[in-house]
Amino acid sequence: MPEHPQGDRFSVDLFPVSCLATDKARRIRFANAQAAVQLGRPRDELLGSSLEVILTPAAQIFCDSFVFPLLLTEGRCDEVALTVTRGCGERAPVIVNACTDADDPDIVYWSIMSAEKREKLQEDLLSSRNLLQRQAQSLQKLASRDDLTGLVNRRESTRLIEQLISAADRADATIAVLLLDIDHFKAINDTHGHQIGDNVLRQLGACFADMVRLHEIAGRYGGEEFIFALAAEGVEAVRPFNARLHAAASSVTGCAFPVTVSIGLYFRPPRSNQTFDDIFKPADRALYRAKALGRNRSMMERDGAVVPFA
Amino acid sequence: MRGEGDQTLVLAHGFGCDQTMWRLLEPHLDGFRIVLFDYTGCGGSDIRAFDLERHARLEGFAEDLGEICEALDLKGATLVGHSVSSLIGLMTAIAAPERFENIVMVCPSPCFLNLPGYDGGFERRDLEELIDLMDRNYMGWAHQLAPLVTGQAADTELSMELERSFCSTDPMTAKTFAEATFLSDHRDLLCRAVHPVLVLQSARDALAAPSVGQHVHDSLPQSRLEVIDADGHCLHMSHPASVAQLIRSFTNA
Repeated sequence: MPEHPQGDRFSVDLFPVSCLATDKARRIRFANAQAAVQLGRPRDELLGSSLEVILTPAAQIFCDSFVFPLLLTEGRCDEVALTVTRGCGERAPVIVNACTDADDPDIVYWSIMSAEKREKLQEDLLSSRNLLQRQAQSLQKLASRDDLTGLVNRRESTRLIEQLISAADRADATIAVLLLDIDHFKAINDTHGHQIGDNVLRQLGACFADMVRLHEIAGRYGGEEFIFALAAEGVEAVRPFNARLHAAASSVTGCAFPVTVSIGLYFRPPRSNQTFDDIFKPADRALYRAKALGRNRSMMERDGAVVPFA
Repeated sequence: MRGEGDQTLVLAHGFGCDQTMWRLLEPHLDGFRIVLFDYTGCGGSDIRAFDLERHARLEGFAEDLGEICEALDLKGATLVGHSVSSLIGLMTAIAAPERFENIVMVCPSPCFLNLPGYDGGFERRDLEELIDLMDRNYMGWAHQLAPLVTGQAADTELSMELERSFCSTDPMTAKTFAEATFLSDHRDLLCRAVHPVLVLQSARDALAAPSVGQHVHDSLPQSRLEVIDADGHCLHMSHPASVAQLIRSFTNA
């Protein structure tokens, strides 16, 4: 049996960790010898001063937002990374554990450990994470954009329109959805080559991007097909937008014959439970009719019938 | 939603926590109907609803709160907001005045930054260090690394329900909320308040100093300032009985 040393052989002053006790007003009432060393302040200076003296302003906010709420409800708080200010003004990263006294919850016991060595590792991890985060964001942007026109792609258009649907329901608003198809696009490609075809798409993409405001959606849905969605007061309110789409087509340059477009429209009534598919289909049927009737026009499906929209 | 009563209190938690921060106050609120919620990205909220752009500004959180009030079809409720939620609540109340009758701000601050002619309490570098501290405190949570790396919890399969625990907050959302909270200046909002406001100020609050509470009081068109002899920034937790009593007398309940 090892011999049990005398109790006074050991003292909290010998532990390589700072130990503090604070009262209700957050004044330091106890500090061990290591606290004076680690915090770079004589013990009699620590005693009676506020805990805030040893914390950086950011660490104070963190304490007020996380540590004290936790102490007030749970009675303890583990492994919090904070920054302390040493007597010389130097800052030092620390790991803090704290708990309240079982008999007097206003008394808080703190143990403060140095975290300077793990700080370097942490910094490396954080900078890798930040880099990954930036890459993920730019990938996300790439994955949602059509690189030829700069508009959102089909997947992203669908997602945004679904979002618009729920927002419109909350605001009791009607949504207009417009499907646009470039007339005789195959002939443009066949006659002039794909470069000219791409140029037409690019010009239209730029015009469309300028036309939509915040919360309005313009996307490239497929080859020569574009989709638009916007909250609308009513059918009348969309006429200028529709007219601008046709005007955008006629402004396209670099193509031997005038570029025209066909458009199919559908208006989704507020709180109608209609999903993206439910509003896409009637707009698509209206577009098909616009094509069948000779192109360069807009048709709208309303109450099951397809009627001209101009 | 808890309790029964003619008057509804909407309790809006502050930065760093979730609705459980109200649990010490709740027992003192008999006779009120209480609405509790977690902001998107905090506590038990569905993190998939978190949007890096929307929630980069307090307005995004105000819209969330507005949607809750709309879903519950609240009319003439009392909004009780802690810290930054005082401002989020004020935005919500200005946007939909009919939903509220009055507002209680617990330790409010419209701006934490020291700016010319205004002493918010902190320099920009302090607040940047805070954002860094948030990072350091969440790095260790291995299971949180996936959404943290993608940074896009909103529509990825990686997003998950947050564990239910006190102040459980996703690191990415916490950082975004911190930036929205601490690097913004919403002093101009105060004079646009349309409801009577009770401002509860802690006598010794390092985060929102008494001078900040006074500024809030002076800028609001109709307000009452009550300074509670207390330490710290969580009056509703450290002095729940006094806070409840002041809310009661303010709402005449």
